[in-house]
Amino acid sequence: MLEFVRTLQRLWRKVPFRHVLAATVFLAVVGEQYPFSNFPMYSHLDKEADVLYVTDQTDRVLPMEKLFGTSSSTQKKVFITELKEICNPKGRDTRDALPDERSAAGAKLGEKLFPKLKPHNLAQMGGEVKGLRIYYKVFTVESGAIATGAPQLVAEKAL
Amino acid sequence: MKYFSASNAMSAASHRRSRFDAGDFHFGPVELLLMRLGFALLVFFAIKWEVSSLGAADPKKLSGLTHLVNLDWLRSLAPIWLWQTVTILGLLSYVAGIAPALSLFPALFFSIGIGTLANSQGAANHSTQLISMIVLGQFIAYIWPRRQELGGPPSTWAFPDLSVHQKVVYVSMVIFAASYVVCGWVKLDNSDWKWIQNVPNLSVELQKSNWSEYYDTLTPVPDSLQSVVSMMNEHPNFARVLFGSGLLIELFAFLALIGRRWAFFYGVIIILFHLSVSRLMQLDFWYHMGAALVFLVNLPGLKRTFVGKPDRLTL
Repeated sequence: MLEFVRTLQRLWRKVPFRHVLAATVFLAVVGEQYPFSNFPMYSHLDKEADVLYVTDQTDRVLPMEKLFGTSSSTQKKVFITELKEICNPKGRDTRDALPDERSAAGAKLGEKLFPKLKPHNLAQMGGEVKGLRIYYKVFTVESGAIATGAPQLVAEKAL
Repeated sequence: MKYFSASNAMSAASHRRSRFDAGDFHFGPVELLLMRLGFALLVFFAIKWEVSSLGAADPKKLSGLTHLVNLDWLRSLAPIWLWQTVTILGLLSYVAGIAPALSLFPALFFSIGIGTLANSQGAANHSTQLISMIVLGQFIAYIWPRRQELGGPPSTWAFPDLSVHQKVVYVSMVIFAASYVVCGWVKLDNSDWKWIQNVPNLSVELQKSNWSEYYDTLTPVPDSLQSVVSMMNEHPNFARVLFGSGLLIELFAFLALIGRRWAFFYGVIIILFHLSVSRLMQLDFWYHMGAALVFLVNLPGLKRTFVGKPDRLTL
């Protein structure tokens, strides 16, 4: 038995780049468990991609990062996570979500996002901001061109 | 006589060791010190010290340690300056090579603790995992020195010898390379090996990432976006060659471990790759570029990399 283990050890030591191989397999198996990651960014290249943004009550776009200290892409991921919670139990993909379901996910997102508002930075925006709105928008590749879907209001808060 | 025996023992150990191992890079003490300095800076700035902006961990989206322990208390960590000072003092000791395992611990704790909480909010961000993984790898390598294998004089916990520091940098390079290889592998696996075929769809991702940047900062979308998107849609095969080369860079990142020159060129390629991603997609991976600069490009070791036979030289 001991000899067998030693043989395996000898063979293993002859494998080129064995440490990278072992680490790669480990990361692929463990997946997304911080600090470990298999870095799946842009591994699914679909024909559509979505964005989330914040505006005031007149639909003037406001800078998400400055107002909330978080990025539009991060909050879009949170939104999609909430949307999955609503759609997946019904056996549907988030891309097939109904407007009501998007609004429900938006409300959940708003509960987490709006408390992070930095009033001091909001005051620097100019104009009178009486409310905040969050919109969700989808870009699609159609016949070699990019089409932009109509933005959907998914959350709103009066200030 | 004693020297002769030690020399023989080291020679035997070196013969037992196959290629692609820690000893192949022969990093000198000055190079190693400057690498630790560069990495210490990366670690400190990669920690998301703005903990008050974090929410509580989402029970449906837990990551890593949050499966086992509640890290929400890190949101009220105060005073931050105190913990930053503890971390800096630890990192200074690490740079000096004094009790590096112990001195890395504060950085390890905050890097993984805060990073885990930030990634348990319902959205995974991939900017700091590489740095946190390397800190963890270095910590383990320091507390578990394999001195018998390396054949050097016995290390102490407080003042590890050169071979231990060399091994720690090698571990960092392995983690770096594996992160890129797995990233390439996941692209193939998640797309049922159709990633290259689907590359023209990346145009819509470019559109998204550029507009996301606008929604974050109100910085106007670059004029070049439209022409790049049009090029991708009108010349899909050209786009496949262009972006497919990025996939190859990821998949073959293990080549950086062949030797110092390969590491240098691979480091430069990876930095150029990230700079082009920054330009095209407004996605910045500064810590990845920083790690490539510190561990692969290794500017302080350039002379040693390109003059003479690198594996014969010592500093």
